[in-house]
Amino acid sequence: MKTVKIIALLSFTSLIATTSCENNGFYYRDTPRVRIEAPYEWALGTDSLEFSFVTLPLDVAEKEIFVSLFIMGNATDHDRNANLEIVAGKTTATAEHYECPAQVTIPAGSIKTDFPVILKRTNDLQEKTVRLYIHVIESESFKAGVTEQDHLLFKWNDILSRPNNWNDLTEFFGDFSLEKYRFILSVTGVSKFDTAAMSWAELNNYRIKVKTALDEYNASHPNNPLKDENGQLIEF
Amino acid sequence: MKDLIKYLFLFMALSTFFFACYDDKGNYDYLTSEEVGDIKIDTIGVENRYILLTTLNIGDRVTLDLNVTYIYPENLKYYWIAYPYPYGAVQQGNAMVYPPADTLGKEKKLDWTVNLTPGWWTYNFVVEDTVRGLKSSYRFQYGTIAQPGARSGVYILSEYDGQTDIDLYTSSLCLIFGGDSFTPHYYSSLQGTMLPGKPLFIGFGQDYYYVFTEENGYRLNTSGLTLMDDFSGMFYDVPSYRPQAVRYINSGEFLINNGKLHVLYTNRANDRKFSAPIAGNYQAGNYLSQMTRTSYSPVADAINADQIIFDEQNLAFRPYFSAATSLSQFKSTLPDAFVNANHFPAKPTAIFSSNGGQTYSILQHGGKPYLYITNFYNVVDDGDLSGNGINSIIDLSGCADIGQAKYFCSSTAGSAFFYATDKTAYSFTPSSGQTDAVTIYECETNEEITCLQQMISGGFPTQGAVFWVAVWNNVTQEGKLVEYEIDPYSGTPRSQWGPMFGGITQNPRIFTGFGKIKSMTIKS
Repeated sequence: MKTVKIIALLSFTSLIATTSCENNGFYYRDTPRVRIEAPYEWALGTDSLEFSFVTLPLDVAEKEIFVSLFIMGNATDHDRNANLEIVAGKTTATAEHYECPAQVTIPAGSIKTDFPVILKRTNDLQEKTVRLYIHVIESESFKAGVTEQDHLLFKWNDILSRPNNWNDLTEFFGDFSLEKYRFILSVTGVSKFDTAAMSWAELNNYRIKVKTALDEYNASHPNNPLKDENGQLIEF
Repeated sequence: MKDLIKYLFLFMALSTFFFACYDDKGNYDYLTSEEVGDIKIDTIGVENRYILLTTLNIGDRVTLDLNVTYIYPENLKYYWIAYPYPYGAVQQGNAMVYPPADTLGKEKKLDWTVNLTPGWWTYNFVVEDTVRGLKSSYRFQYGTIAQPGARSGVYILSEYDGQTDIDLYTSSLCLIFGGDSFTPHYYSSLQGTMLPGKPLFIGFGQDYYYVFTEENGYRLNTSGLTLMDDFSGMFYDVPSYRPQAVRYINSGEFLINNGKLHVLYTNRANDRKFSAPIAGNYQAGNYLSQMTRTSYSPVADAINADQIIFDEQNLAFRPYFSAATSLSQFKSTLPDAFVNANHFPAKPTAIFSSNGGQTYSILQHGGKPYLYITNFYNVVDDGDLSGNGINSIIDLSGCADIGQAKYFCSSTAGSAFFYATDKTAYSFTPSSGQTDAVTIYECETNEEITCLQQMISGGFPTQGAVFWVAVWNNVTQEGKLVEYEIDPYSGTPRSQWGPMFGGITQNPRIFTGFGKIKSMTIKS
């Protein structure tokens, strides 16, 4: 009886040992798929992002945003291609507004790659917002990934409006005009001049900076000094 | 029975009356009030009787000997104590207790080096007859001990072993300072360490010090010289580090760094940060004006600038007006103006404020050294900003070594200016008609001059009347300060206020024990 007990105990122990040797890792065994993610700082983990050119310098004509493409599956020893499409029904941007590859190559040995989507700053964006909806579609190598991450929506514009507190800013920037405001924002990179939070000295600091920038602009455009939408010379 | 009780009670009552009338002579031996005496304390005739009511600084030596009158002086014990004002109980455990007073001395004559924490204090001089138990005291209330760093004096930026420290020096010659004192390593004694890097210069802002070394810039609080900001903390957008000059006037702090003017208006809501470089096509030299305008009988339509700089790119003085975004220019110079402030013939080697707000520029052109005198202070810009009429340009060919001078200083309290090479310090005044300089100090072997400083225009009557030559001995590795009382108009040594107010008969006086002095600023 004692021998039986010992044998039973050894058997049980061996079973546990064997079980603990089993690899519990999770492996994706389905058809390889791809999913896409926009940079977190712009999309905040969602499937869409909004962007404005308003606070960028006037000579900035486009914005390049890198989208990450992830493979669901194993790396391979050869390059593979993933396909993207622009969904017309959900896109208002035209070809002049953006550049987006129709096909993205994932190098051999990789399970991730980044590809650029270029948003362009065209004049019509000062009056409207455009949308670009890209979607992963099947290719020879991949099927589309999870529905939550098989697409991205970009919305961008260059629209300005007179801030509500401009009366408080007149001491620093003078009379309002859209061109002046656009220039201020592009020089300072500030999206909002909050007179309740910013000191006189800080606002005056911005004023000096835009004056310096205006001098430089006018010096580099001797025959075309900066004017506002009404044809008036911009001054600070 | 009832009557018996009545009579007994009446007898007892009457007996009480008799006792009340009894005069008990007792067995005691009384002293007369003349024999007992009073301990009387007074300050009659005591010269410095108000010393404890003045603002004292840590490290000051206080001596005070009050008059005590008592018939048994041999019985007396004395002590001086101090306690904070207002004096209140503080929590200790579960109890509220009055903290013990600090004892300053146990002799009749107080001889105390101030060592209490800054604040208000009450001082008591207590006299006690230890035999008879009599006690008397004399109280001085509301005495103030100043925060370190807030003290008036000459703040000296010195090099010690490749690092920077601030020494504090006061002189009896400068009546606003109160007396002679020297506190070496004033900064490091308060902060525990010196500032890294060799010293460049020191200045005083609205209410704090600016120190610049070869490594960094520092804004130091007058309260204990604690660090408020380093260079990067002084700006919204930090420029390249190349500090040239700093000055506080007209409610604004002005800093020239890397050829550009930065401003900080202290009378406006601010973040204690300098602005971006003031706009304009210019390259600022090291000059910042000490005086640009007055509120006392200002001339109508005077220039009224907040600051004046010298633009080395255009060889011109340029005004900066209140809260402007860019530098301005003066009116075009008239053809018959003695000096063209809008275009000098050469870049000055030195520019400094002098003589009631005039601006002196030393420059070489045509092979000769010249003094150019301009004036932007409380004058109308009428196209001629010459500061001294026909004598606005003075040939300095007779001034020895002026071409090799490395150090210059002046004061708006007089017309003289001082300059020095490594070896010799001179003075010159354009108001006397002289053509040559006066030799003030010549170095001994192994000595070199490292800095000059003149007393500021504040502090009547000795404004501008004190001149210091900082000297470094390369062998002993010790610095000294040579202090002159001078006539700020002639630039020559004189002994007028020193003997009168400070009891000083020597001129110059020499003080030793310094480091390698590179810059000085005066806090009044």
